[in-house]
Amino acid sequence: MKSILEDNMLIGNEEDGEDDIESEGGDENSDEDDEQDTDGFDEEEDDIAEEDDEDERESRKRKLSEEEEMPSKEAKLEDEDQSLYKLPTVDELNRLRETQMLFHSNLFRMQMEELLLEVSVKDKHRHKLNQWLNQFTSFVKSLPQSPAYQLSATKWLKENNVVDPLTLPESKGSFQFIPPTEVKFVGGAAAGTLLSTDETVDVMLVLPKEIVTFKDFKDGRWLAKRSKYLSWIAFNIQGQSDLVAGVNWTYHLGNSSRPVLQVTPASGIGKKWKVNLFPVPDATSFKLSLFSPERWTVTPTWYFGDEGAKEEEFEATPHCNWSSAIDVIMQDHLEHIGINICQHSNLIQGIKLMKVWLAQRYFNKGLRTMSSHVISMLVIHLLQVRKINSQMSGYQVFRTVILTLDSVDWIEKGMCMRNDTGEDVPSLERLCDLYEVVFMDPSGRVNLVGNLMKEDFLLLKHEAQLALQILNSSSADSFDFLFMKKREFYQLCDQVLSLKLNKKKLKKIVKKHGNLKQHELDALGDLRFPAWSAVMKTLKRGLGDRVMLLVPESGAVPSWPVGESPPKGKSSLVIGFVLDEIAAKALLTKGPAADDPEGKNFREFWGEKSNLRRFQDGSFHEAVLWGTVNQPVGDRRLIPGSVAKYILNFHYDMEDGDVNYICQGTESILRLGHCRLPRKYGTGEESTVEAIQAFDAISRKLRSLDLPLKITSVQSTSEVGRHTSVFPPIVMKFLTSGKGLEVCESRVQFATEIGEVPPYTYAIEVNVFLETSGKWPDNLVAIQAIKAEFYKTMASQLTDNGIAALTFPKYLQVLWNGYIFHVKVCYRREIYLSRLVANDDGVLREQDTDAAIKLETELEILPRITSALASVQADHPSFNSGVRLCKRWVGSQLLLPHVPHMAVDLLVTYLYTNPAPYDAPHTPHVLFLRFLSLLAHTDWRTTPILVNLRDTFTVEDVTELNRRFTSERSSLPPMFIATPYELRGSSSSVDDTYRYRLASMWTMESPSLPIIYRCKQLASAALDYMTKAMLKNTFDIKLIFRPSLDDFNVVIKLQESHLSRRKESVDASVPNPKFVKPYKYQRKESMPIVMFDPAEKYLTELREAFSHLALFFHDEFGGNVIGLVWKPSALPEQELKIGSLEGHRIFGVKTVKQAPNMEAILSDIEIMGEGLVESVTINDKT
Amino acid sequence: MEDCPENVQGFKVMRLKFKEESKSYHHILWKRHNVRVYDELKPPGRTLFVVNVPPYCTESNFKHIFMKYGKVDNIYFQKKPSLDSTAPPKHPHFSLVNPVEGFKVAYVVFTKPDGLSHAMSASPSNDLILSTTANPVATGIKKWHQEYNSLYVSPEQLSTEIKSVMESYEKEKEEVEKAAKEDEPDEDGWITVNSKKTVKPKLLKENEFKKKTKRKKKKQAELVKFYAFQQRQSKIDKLAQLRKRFEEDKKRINMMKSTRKFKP
Repeated sequence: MKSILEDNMLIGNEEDGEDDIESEGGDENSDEDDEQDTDGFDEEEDDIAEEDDEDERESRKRKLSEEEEMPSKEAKLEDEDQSLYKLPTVDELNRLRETQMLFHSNLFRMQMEELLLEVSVKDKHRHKLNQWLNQFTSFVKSLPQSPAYQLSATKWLKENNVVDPLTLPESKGSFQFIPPTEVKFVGGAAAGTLLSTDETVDVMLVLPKEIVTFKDFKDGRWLAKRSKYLSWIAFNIQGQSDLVAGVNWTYHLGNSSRPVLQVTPASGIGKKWKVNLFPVPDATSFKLSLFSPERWTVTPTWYFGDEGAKEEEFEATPHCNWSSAIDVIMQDHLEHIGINICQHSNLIQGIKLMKVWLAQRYFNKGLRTMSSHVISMLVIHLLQVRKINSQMSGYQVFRTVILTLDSVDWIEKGMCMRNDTGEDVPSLERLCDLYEVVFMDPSGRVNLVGNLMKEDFLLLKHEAQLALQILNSSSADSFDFLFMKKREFYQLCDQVLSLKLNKKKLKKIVKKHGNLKQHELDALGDLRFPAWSAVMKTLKRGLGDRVMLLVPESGAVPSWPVGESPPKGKSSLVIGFVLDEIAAKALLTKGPAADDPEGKNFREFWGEKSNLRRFQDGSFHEAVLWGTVNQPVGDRRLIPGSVAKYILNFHYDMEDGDVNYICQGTESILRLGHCRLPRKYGTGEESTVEAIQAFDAISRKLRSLDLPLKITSVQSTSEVGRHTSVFPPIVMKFLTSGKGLEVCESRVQFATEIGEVPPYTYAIEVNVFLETSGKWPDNLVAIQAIKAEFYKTMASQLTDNGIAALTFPKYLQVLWNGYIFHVKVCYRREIYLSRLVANDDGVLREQDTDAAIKLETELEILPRITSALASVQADHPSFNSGVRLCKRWVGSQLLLPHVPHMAVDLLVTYLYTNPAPYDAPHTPHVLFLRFLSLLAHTDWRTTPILVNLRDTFTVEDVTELNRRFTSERSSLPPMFIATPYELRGSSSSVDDTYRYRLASMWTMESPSLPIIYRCKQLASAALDYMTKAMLKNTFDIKLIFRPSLDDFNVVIKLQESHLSRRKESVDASVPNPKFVKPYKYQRKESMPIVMFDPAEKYLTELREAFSHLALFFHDEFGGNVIGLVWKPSALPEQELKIGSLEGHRIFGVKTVKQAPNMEAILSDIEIMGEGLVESVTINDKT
Repeated sequence: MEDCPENVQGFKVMRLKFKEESKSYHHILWKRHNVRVYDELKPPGRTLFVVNVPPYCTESNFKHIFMKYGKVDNIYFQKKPSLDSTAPPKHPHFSLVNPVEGFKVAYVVFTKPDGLSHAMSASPSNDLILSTTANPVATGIKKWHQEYNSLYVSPEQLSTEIKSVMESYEKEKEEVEKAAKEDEPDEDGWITVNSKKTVKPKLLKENEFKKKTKRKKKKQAELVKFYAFQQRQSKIDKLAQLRKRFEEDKKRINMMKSTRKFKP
């Protein structure tokens, strides 16, 4: 952005002939230059141009002549570059200038233009839609008048096989059908903001004055009338197959008192949109003030019959009035929009963008929707208060609306489009009492958002806030996050609570909070909304700051055939929690002080759970305790659920069976069911932390050693150090004896007799850096020898201290407090030495050799990433379990041999550093869902993943990486994941690609495209299962953690007794959990078997031998199968190539050919896995 | 299995079974080792070049197989045939060369040329057997156990190896120094000219290299935007760059478009 700005300046300067600031520091123009730099307005620039024109004309002439004399560079340029150097046209400059002034970035602008093109309705379709409306109008207008019926008469309905969707008590009045006076589009189709992705088009039918009387305002008669009117149309239109393909009932905005007729137009247009029919009264039929929110329009005696309570006890019926007022005001609004919006294409564009934004967040459908009509009205309001002007670009309109949504308070203060607060209009304070969310229309009597709950609006505000963050960030993906990615409910909420409610429960809930009848009257019997909002209020009070947001799921609006009665509304409620990660885990809910009068309230709310407690500062407070101090984090994460369950039970008698708390199910995968540890393992966070603490202790110990060269730093490169080890090492008693084991020189090793394999013991890698010395040899082998000398010295000193240590040729193995460490001495120059390669003339040149890159990774890159990920963990406590859960899944699907561990780690980190369009995840559960969605929905071909660890990417890096990604796509890894740490510093070589050559080094070799495709499929299947089944009782998370073996050509089954990691398996079945014996230190302890996993060895050998013919799949976490898939390209017979005979047989006499020697390979597989392989099964389903 | 030729492209085709009772076999092909570059480790007259050697073949087993053609001096395994010297590392525990895994090629060096000719005239109908009761091949669990046990080297052995590494390094260093000295004129100003090229390629010192490039950069820096035409040029360049970026963005958009990325 900034560079574009500067560039533009330069172009401007060219006209003036001004010179650059740097070269002519003392020039008189420099001040002006500075000024322009800061504000960058073009008008100013032009002024200067005029002033200076005269003076500079001379010099410009000189320059031009110079240019002619000199053989200009332009001429020399290649043809293809020529277009880049042509003189800029005015249009081009204008566009560049506009981009810089009015848009986020060039790419953003182009993306937006594409999007608008995509969602705008094509002329063809618009034409067809108009045609259909004409057809429909003439049909409806030609319908004959009906005889006059009693409003309560239902006989004609039955005769015509239509069910009136609205059931109200009998009321007086009559109904007669007379064709509408007018039929026209309202909403999007009228304002020109209709999107091709919209599902419905709204059409308004203006009822003639004769059939609506002034008295119809009372007792919901208008609502009954409109519903009858629609019923009449319904049975008349049903048979018209040339006009409609289907006729259904549905509810307007999910409000059960407002049924609308939804017809599917015949012809192609019906596939795109359905048409909702809205009958509205003639403008002169009602006075709007009749439906003013503070009035009551329903008489209790009518609604409840004779035993109804006295009228004085009842207050206003705002929601009921609202239901009718919408119809009354519809024509006004239509006119309003017509005047203010329709001519301004940029406003329309802005509204369209808003609509896409809302749609991606599902605000546009469901029971409580933020309709696009509200947005149009909001834009008009902003026009009136001059926050938007008609010159703004669509992007700016969008931005301003988002900004407004972020800043307004429609809950406490409300907003009104009418600026003169006349006395006849209710005040905003009063309105805020009547409705949960208030945004009044220009008349001041209709609440445009009367259907919303408080929490809906808070969610909207939250989304707007996130959108602003995205808009302000310079990230290249901001467009995607705003308009392309769907915000799914389940991926938004850290935890989900599902409540089973029925009519009885609803009544009970409402009753508890006040006048049941009043609510029944206002909602015309539909108690869901008042009950839900009461539950939300109670939950909010109970959870307090544990949750940032309570998100009620919006639920689907039903749609049913006209001949059937309306389906029973789902009264169950699904509530998502967006947690405050720290507060959510608080053990105590602290109440008011003991002597505070508020204390009574608190006790009443919490019941017996509340106790008086003494706090550390000596004060006494009411408080509720939810757990114990030494509970593992994995358990404490579930506290919000316990709180919610308790409150619901205490206040509404909700049993455990009625409340389903979803979160622990997913995370249970991380728990160890098969062994009982002396300390609670939970989901393993504590074990990771303990391992890291042990690492810190050992590094202090190492520093204290007396070595020829001092230790300058000790770094960790191990998985557990970056918090991503699925099964962190657990301290327990080592197996030192038993069948097949023997102790030799204080080290356990395998005896000739073969027994069961001992459990896997992890080693934590430790890098030790020494102070610099000139005495190191120049020879790589000699360096290894010197290192070994260091190991020996260290080992002898550690042993003297009573710590078991063994010297291996390439590392030092230390056993400390039950943890095993592999210590390696690092020498930075080794990287340089391994980069040197002799070329033909015997001179050494630097080159990226495999060995050098490996060293560079271990010594330079990994430690930095490790510490960066540790800081991610510090910011986001759920990171640890989250990564481990995701990695466990990738592993369980046998993909870890192909998807590097680091790739998983970084993808998860990416979800934390770039959480848009959500907040950063706060539980492993939600992270896992987002991870699956990332795998399932990312188009890796066009999306680079830039993991901005610690915000260390520079703007240039991001631009350059993106540029490279686009221009060199085919030569880069299919899954591109780059971090700032693999970018190198200034180089000693002249090569300019040096800095970026290692970008995405983690995925350089794998995953390949087929693997990525498989990931995608598996992830979307898993995600699908999760979202569909999560709320059901039958939900079993393990289902998606079991691999399907159908797709493998050969399945190799391994013997459990030789799997050292079998306890890590998802289905590790141990009937009685074994109590793990705690580790006890003893002097002269012998070193156990470390890092020995036969399955891993076997897999490595198989891959080395047959990777040119087949792919191997295995779950490193105790998986007992290896799957094999033949590479399709390797199977057919080929020309004989002696060089690549590996594993082929040859045949044919005249023309000798080769083909994979299947028989021999299969027997090789058994031979190489002797003792480990249980069976080899060929899957011949082809 | 289909018929297979006895000879192909100068190679002799033989069948290798893992065990006597194995049903399946691998084809292994061999011929006389014959390359233009002389390598004293693989003398052409006595060396057999074998391809498609299965992964589990060890040197000792292989030796055993070829014993019947004549006494075997050495066996070298390589991943791919190459001219590089393949002497086994002197110090196996400090070697930076990875052991050869998977299917490989072998050079079998017989003590006498007879062995080679015997091998070349071997009958293809006789299957070769790799693992015999007398000479079993350890695979699977057994092999991995052995591998694990051999990871550890006793301190004494380690010490001797370290010593020998350092000794050979010192020796090499001395030689290089000597060679370097030879290039310098002696007291009388004479330089001894050797036919042999310098043993060790020269190391270009890092800082020297940096100095050079720095100097170059300085030169460039001085000339930037000195003349008016250069200034103009730089502006034009910037515009061009801007356009280039614009084009690139466009390309990216098109790519996204092709994947229907704009369908919300």
